[in-house]
Amino acid sequence: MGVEVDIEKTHLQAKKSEFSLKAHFSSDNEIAVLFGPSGAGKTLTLHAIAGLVKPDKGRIRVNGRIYFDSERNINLSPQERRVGYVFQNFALFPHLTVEKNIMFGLRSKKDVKEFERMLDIFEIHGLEKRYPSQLSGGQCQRVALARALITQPQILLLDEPFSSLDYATRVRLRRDLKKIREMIEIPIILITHNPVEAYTMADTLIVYRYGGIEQIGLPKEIFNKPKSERVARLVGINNIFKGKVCNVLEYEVVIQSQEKIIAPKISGLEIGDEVTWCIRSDQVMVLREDRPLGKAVERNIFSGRISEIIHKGMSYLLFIDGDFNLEVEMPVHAFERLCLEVGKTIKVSLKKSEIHIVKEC
Amino acid sequence: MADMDLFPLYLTIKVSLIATLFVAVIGIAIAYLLARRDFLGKNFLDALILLPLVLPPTVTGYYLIVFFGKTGIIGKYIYSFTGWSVAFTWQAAVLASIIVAMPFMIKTARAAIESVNIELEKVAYTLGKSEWETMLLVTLPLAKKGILAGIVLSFARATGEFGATLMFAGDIPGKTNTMPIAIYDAVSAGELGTANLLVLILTFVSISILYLTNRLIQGRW
Repeated sequence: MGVEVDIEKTHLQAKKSEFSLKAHFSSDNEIAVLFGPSGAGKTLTLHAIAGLVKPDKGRIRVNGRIYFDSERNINLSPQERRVGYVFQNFALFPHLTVEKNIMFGLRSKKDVKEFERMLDIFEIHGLEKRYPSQLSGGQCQRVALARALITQPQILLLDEPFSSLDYATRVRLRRDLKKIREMIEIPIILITHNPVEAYTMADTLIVYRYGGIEQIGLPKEIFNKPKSERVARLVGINNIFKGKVCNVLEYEVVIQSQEKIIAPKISGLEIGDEVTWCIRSDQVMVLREDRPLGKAVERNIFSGRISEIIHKGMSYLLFIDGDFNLEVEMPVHAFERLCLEVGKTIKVSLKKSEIHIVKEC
Repeated sequence: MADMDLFPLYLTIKVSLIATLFVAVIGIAIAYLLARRDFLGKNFLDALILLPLVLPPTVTGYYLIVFFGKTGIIGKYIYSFTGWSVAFTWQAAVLASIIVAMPFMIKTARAAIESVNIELEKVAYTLGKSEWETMLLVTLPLAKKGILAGIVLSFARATGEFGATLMFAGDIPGKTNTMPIAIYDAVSAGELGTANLLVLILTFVSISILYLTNRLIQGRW
């Protein structure tokens, strides 16, 4: 059960440039997040699942039901597919009240029980007689969700559900979506280009690049072990370096970049291979001169000068010029204890276990 | 003045109302197709519909005779089957008004339909509504203002119709002499009193209609 998508679509855009999309993924009755830069084809994928766009070829299956199969000439209309689609700007009918918006997709208008249930779930009691223009962004979104779910769809599609919401509303939406996921056994696919949302929401994370899918996996896997430099950048890793393998040991490899660094061994590496490696900014440790080094940080020690400090609220971001130009993120308490300032030279350790080698040819 | 013949006023209102009814129904359908569908010959249809806007009304009237006159391309069949020809009847004035008012309806309604966010239609499809239901429940209600404005403009154009009507329906007193034609006759015959009154009535009706249209468009109904 779940959703299976395997489609190809080429279409002419404005200005006569062609865009082609190739997407192949599957997901269970859980939350799959399509994550990637804008223009990658994420919305096109949702449109294809909903039947609003016809792929050139391929297959789409939801909960065992074939929505589209080019070989067997099957292409269900959007009306037949029973898809719950929440558009990016919610697409509420501006001329209808909240009540009429929610009831819009119901066959029998007497299904008051379902309606009441939706009001309960999304806490929209008291808003029934209002028009969409009289609602806040978060309220619009909950109405749009209620309108999509009241028809008992086979799959729920959400296009950038977080993008136009303020922080508190985003947190609430995350909670609501998790609640829906527990409540109904259908696949949910949502689009985001925010790494935090991607990480927190996804059961399966599907990383898009322009025109296709770059990597599929658990969020943790993708954030810690991106398959390519592109994915590494998308998930917010900025410490990315090139190098050449100069020694392969039993558990470690030595890579010659600006300096030699030691990384955990991965299979298939040989001396002389060109590799890309990266480390997350929160895994670069600023060392205290007065303390003996712990085992985890005793290797890969480099020094550099702090060139810029950004206070991010919950943490500090340091930019360090040195053997490697590094981005370092550290908690506020650690930053304050170390009395760091721009211009100061410090020692950092690239935690060996957290260095990830991207095997790209 | 007291014995003034009010037939032209009555005829103009009758012709305009009936013509507007046809223009509204046909115009909305064509405007919807032009706004939301792609089909072969779309641009040609668009140009054809707008033609009466740029052609002299006499030319439009001449075409109507060519097509619907007693010996016209279509008219001759109607005549041979029914023994009746639309030319030089009050229905001819209706037909002329429909053709001349149609561009106003279609231009306005098409723009209004095109301005409806297409995502609203898509979301209606995903909620199980057919294209027909979506048009009636979503697209047309949201394009309502523009459509109403188109209807009012068409009515105004129909009441002022002169050239094509004169060509195709003629100037038969008590039968096809609409207001604009009656005014022309009155001036020709030197009856300036009658002419003045008719002109005042027509001006008043037109100003009222345009005023209402503006109110409609600005949403202060």
